[in-house]
Amino acid sequence: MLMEYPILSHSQQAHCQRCGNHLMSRPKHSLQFTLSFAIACFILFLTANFFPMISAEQAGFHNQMKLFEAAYAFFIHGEWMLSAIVLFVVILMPLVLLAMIAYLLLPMIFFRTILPYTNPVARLVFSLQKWSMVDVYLVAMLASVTKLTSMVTIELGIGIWAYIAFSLCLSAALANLDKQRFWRYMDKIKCHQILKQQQL
Amino acid sequence: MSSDTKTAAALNLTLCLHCHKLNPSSWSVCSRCGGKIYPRKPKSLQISLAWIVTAIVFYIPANIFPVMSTYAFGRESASTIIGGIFELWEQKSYFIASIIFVASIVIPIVKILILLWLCLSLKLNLTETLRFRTHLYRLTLWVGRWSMIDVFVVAILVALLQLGGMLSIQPTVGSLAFASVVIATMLAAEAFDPRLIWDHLQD
Repeated sequence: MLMEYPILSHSQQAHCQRCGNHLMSRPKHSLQFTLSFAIACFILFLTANFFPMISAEQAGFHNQMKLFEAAYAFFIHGEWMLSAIVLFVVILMPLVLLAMIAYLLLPMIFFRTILPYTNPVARLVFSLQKWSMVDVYLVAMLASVTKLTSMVTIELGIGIWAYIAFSLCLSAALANLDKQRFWRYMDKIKCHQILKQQQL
Repeated sequence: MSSDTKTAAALNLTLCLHCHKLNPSSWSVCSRCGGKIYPRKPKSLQISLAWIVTAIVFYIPANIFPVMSTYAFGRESASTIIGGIFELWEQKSYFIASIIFVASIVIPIVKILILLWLCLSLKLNLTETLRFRTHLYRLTLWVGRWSMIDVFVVAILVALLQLGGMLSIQPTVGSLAFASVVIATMLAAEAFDPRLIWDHLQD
C-alpha cells in the first residue's frame, strides 16, 4: 500500500495504516551510532577471541574454551557441516557484517564519499543481518553453564564478559542501522557530490 | 479500510525490497541500489512450501536421534533434545529448561504450522484475519533464529567437556538434523512474501 513519506519529529514513529507494522522512527544520529558501536565491537571481538571464555575442572582434569573452539570441537568429532554452520553464524557472519558496515559508513560519515561497490555491499548487509546469531549463542552459553554447574566446577573468564559486551554492541549497531535512513543518506551524499562538481 | 488507498501495483510502481525505493513496474533493476526488483517475490509459495516440507522431514530424525552422547567414567549415555530438557528440569534449573523447551520444541512446531497455514490460506483465498496473519508472519521471521540455541549448547558442551577419560561429550546425528530444521524454516519464512496475503483485497 502506498503512503506519503511522513515528516517525523524526534521520538515519533510511523506505522502502516493497513497492517500496523512499524515503518520508521526518527532517532538522532542513528548511522553514527551504528558506526561507533561497530568499532567497539571489533575491539571486544578480539578480546573475546584471545582470552578463555569458560573453564571446567573436575578431579585434576582441566579444560578451557575460547570462542572459536566451539566450532572447532565439532570439526574434531567429524561433524564438519555443523562446524561450518556454527563458525558461519557465530564468528564469520558478525565479523563480515561489521567489516562491511565500517566499509560503508566510515567514508560516508567522515569524508562524504562513497567507495566502489557500495550498492552490492549495502544490499548484502541488509539481507545477511538475521544470519548473525551472536545473541542466540550468548543465551546458549548461559544455558550450558547452568547445565554444567552440577557436574563440574565452572569458572568464567575474561572472554565471556567481552563476548557479552560484544553481543550488546552488535545488537545496538544493527538496531540503529535503519534501511531507509541509510539509502536516503547515500542519496544526500550523491547530491552533494554533484553540486560540488558543478561548482568546480 | 478507506477506499481511496492505492497500492503501488495499481499505479504501475514496484517497491525495491532492498532499499525501499519505488520504481516503474517495467524495470527489472532498482534505479538506486541496483538490486533486482519484482512485483512479488518470484515463486514465493513454491519455494516456501518446499522448505517447509524439508523442515518437516528433518524434524523427525532431529527428535528421534540423540543430539549428543556423554562418556562419564566409562559409561556412555545418549541424550535427545527432550531428554536434555527433562534433565535440566530435574536439576531444578526451571528457567533455563523452559527457555530451551520453548526454543527447541515449541518454536519449530509452531513455526512450521504457521507457515503451512499461511500458504494454505493463500490457496483457499481467505479474506479474513489479514492483519493477524501478517503479524504471525512477522513473528515467525523474528523468532526463527532462537531455535539454534540447542545446537549451540551442544557445541559449547562438546568444546568444554573434554576432561580426559573422566568425562567427555560427542555430538551425534540429531544435532545436525535439528540445525537443518532451523535453517530450513528460516529460509521458508524468508521466501514467503507477506504482500500475497493482502492481494485478495484488490480483487
